[in-house]
Amino acid sequence: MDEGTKTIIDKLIKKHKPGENAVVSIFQDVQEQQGYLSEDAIRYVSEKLEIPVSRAFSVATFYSAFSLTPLGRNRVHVCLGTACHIKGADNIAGRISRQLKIKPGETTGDRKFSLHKVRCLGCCALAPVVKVNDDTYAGVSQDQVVSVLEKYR
Amino acid sequence: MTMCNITLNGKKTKFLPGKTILENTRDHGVKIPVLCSHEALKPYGACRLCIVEIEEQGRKQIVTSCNSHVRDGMKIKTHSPRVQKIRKTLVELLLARTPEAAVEQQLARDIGVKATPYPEQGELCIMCGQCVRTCREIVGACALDFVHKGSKRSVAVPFFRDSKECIGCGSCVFVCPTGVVSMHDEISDVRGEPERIMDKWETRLPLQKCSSDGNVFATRRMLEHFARKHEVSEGFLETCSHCLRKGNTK
Repeated sequence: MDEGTKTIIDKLIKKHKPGENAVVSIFQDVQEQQGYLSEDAIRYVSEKLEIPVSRAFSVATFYSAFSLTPLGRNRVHVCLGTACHIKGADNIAGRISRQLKIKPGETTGDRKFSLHKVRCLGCCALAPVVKVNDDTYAGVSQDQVVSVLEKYR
Repeated sequence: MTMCNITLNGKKTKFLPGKTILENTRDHGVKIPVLCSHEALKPYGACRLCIVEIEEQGRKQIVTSCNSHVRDGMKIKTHSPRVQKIRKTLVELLLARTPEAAVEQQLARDIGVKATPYPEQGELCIMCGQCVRTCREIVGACALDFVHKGSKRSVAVPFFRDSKECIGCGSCVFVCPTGVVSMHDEISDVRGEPERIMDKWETRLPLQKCSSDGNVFATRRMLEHFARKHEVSEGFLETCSHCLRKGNTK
């Protein structure tokens, strides 16, 4: 692992209270800064927190918020919760899938986008909802979603 | 130690307060089915088969006996209709997951479950976690843990391959109740040296030849692991226990 990544992780570890419980918070920060949890990062965090690698790997695979492969620069989340489902979220997910030529859970070859299905974003009144990074798009149609994606190219 | 006054299946008896309900009932010759419980390991409470019905001050409750302690005045029923109904469902679910596992089939026969009404999944791992816990609690290598969650949950070494922590001791193979964890020794195609392959963990470990009789006797990493944890006699790392006993060290 390069020294730069080590320094970043060291800083993140210092921010949190030491001990096994810090692993989730540290992984969240690493995920946000690096876009994924690399093998080196997981091994380094486990070494620093003095927890078994198996334990750290278990945590890393448990939460869907963590990815073990690099994600795209823009993370597209399509809500498939009950309200969004009723409002045709499947069609929207399909349209994005065709547009970006990737399946949910995958990343485009140019690393610009990754597509994720999520169950509920907690804003059912805005259904159907698509979230790109931290921006939420409410009541989107299939056509609108294409122009939304263009903004992030 | 003052004993606890217990009513076990309608009979007044005395239980040891320091022991769990499961241990106490066993001492009294009452058989409760278990899958994830192992006497060498800490209580885990995953398989739920050891459930019993307890009653305290008129309040009835279903608890797992393997990790519940005894209190004075407790009424315990190990095979009440309520317990047996839940236990039957549990066995049906477990049988659906691992229909081929002998331990599961035996359990179903004991309980009187003929077939599972749920779709069969054809797995062999019953998720008892005995391999994970043995590796952690007894061996101390911590090479194994559960990964993913829900229906994708499984046991694996970090990154699913070449574990640097696995010492190839085979404790996980020994403890696995269904035989899904396996290992074998062979001569490596690449180096021509004897190796141990932990099949499920995708890990290969070089084996040590005895300096005295030339027989392969343990993985090198296993010997190093023991040498780190305990004081070992001279020649321990190179000589098999058979030759050590005879004093044939070189």
